Amino acid sequence: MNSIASILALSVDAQTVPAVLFYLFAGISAASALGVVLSRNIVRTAVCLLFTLVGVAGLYFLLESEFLAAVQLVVYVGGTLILIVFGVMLTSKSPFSRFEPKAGEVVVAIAACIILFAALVMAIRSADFRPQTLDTTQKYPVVALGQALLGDYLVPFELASVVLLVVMIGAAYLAKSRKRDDKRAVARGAATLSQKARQWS
Amino acid sequence: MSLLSLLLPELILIVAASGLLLLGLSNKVASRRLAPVVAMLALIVTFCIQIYRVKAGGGPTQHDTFGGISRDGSIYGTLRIAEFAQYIKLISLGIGILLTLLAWPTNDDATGNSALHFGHDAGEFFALMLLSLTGLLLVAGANDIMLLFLGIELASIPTYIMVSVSRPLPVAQEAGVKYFFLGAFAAAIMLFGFSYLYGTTGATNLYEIMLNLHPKDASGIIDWGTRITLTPWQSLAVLMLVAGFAFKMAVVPLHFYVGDVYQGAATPVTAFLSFVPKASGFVALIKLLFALGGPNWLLPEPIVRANGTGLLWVLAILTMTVGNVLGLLQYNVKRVLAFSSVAHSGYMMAALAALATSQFVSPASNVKTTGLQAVLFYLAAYGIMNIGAFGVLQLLSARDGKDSAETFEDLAGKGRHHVSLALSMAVCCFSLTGIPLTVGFMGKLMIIKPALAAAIAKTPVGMSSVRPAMTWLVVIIMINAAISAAYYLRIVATLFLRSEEHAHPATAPHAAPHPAPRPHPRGHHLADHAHPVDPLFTRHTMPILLAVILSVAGTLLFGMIPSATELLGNGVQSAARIEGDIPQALPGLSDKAVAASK
Repeated sequence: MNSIASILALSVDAQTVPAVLFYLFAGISAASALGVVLSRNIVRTAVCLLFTLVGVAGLYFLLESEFLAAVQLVVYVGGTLILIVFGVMLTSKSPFSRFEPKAGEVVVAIAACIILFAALVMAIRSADFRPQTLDTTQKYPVVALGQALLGDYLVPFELASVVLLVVMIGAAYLAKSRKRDDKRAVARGAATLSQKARQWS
Repeated sequence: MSLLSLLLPELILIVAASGLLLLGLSNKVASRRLAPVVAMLALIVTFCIQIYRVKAGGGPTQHDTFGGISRDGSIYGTLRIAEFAQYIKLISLGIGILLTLLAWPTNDDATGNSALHFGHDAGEFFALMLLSLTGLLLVAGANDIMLLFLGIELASIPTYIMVSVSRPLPVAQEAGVKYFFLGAFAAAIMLFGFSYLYGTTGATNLYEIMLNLHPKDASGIIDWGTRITLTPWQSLAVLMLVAGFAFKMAVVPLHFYVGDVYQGAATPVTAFLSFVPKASGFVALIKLLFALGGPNWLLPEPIVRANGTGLLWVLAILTMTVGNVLGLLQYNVKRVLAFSSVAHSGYMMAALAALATSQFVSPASNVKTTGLQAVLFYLAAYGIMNIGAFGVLQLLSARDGKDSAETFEDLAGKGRHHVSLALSMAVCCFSLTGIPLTVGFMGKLMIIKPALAAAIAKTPVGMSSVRPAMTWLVVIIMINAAISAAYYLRIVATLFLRSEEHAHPATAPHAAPHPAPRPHPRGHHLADHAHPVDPLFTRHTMPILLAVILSVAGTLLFGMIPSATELLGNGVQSAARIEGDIPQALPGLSDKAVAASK
């Protein structure tokens, strides 16, 4: 009894738990990322992507950026992924449509991946990234984040919302059909265009 | 005192844009007529504020943690308003007024003008215009790479929409989609570059990046006298950033979209594209170079090499030459002006290339100050003279019943009927060529000055000479000015010397059988209506005419009247002191918390 406890205490020290969790989350991410690439069924791909994103969120938790992890869960897992699934379901003819990549595409994709992988490995091995020191004295790091957003970074924070407004207007604009009075104008435009095409040719 | 008041121009423009978006909900002609008026009022008010600010000059060094705004000497915060930013804001707003005049609706139902057709969406169109200008204003003051990126995007994203909605033609749709995808691609590259810059320097504040890049001694005093060496990852970041900015500036090799996009967009939008995104790119590039080089502009290796060549030099020469040669080959006048705008970016790059060599020549040659002044002066000069050319294209088209005067055939012989308009075009073209007595000449003079000074300056002992590189730069600028004269004079010659009958039968518009133009029910074309008086003087075309008059007047005024030129020159001079108010011994980063807590 005593010996089992001592073995447990020995193996479960401060170093091991994060390491085990890291390999767990990294493994989940990597395995499900492989699933995203290898699965031909689009819904399965989406589900695998879910686990990839959850795994990355776990890694953020391990790095003590709880806020980033929560945002990762809320925005990517909760928002973007659902949006992707909805997009697939609304646009594809059957909800179980499949990817059928051509052999050439596979070769090109694999080559690009190998180059990217090599570049990333080189980058990570040789990069001199300056580590940012975390302020661990604060109980809630989010407080600092909120203060930064309404303090030093107020202008970019507000500007981001203006940019999003413009993007929203743009998307609505380009997606809506110009039907009110423009049909005639489009027809005339097409006539002008073909006439111009003749001129240019 | 809160420094939020420094943001007054941007806030006014954003509020006006929001108001315009609400105005756009109404379908009434009156609201469409009101839209450009609201935009113009907002611009005029901000322009006046800006004039007042520039006249009042800088204030005390100050930093406000609420909002992260700082002024003059302070290096903290995300937004720093100093003389450089004030100058850029002033010229952007002034040229923004002219651009709004160009886009004024001239038809009865106020859905656009001869070149432009925004349908019922005048409110949205002018709102997008104001938002894009706001982006440029924020780029001018940005002191943080996040704000810089967001500002560049705010300046660019509205232009993608403006291109697609500017006229209901497939060419415009195509241009908009092309511009959007390529622009998004360029933005992604730029953001990637920014992320590496952050990763390798550990800061988003441009001045902190500058501090981190430069070596400091034991007591924390930064050594501004040493030229830094970039690590490979920093070089990659710089390359990607320059590529991203090059897209906005239309610098070769990222100029390929220019022809199609400028041609597809309506003429006022083309004029907008040739100033606002370009200016944002140049301002961002200057800020990046300043962060890399420090107050002494000791730019590192890939940007400039010890013999004077380097990234900027190569880009300048390529951009000038490719732009001008492609301009020579064009058949469409808007495409000519598009590639000429590429060439003008090249001239400005040439001034920056000369500026980069200032570290290798004796300080007495003043390359450092004249280089930056040249870019700032040329930006204003190009903005002023370019608008006149586009405005004339628009007015000529307005009176000839076609969507726009675009090809040389459209212009042939028009100078005989509309002498004053054709003369305005001639003035703008001469100015763009760089013929004396115009602002374009002064601009070219200022561009050549630093390069020439570097070419003849004494080389300090122990440095390799930049003389060959700079001599070649000067020679290539001159050759390019000559090439550009060919196609600018071709426009003028077409206006005055060719007659419409002599147009080539296969390409002349009247030779091609096309359906008779049906009058638009709401009078999209001015020429569809019978005009009893000279349409030049109709009530509706007055704004465009005013833009042309202002542009021509500015071109001549700043080119001929020495005191006017001096005024602009003085503004440029104080703006170019971007480094002037940076203390040589900057406080260490650890002092930031102290400064913030005060």
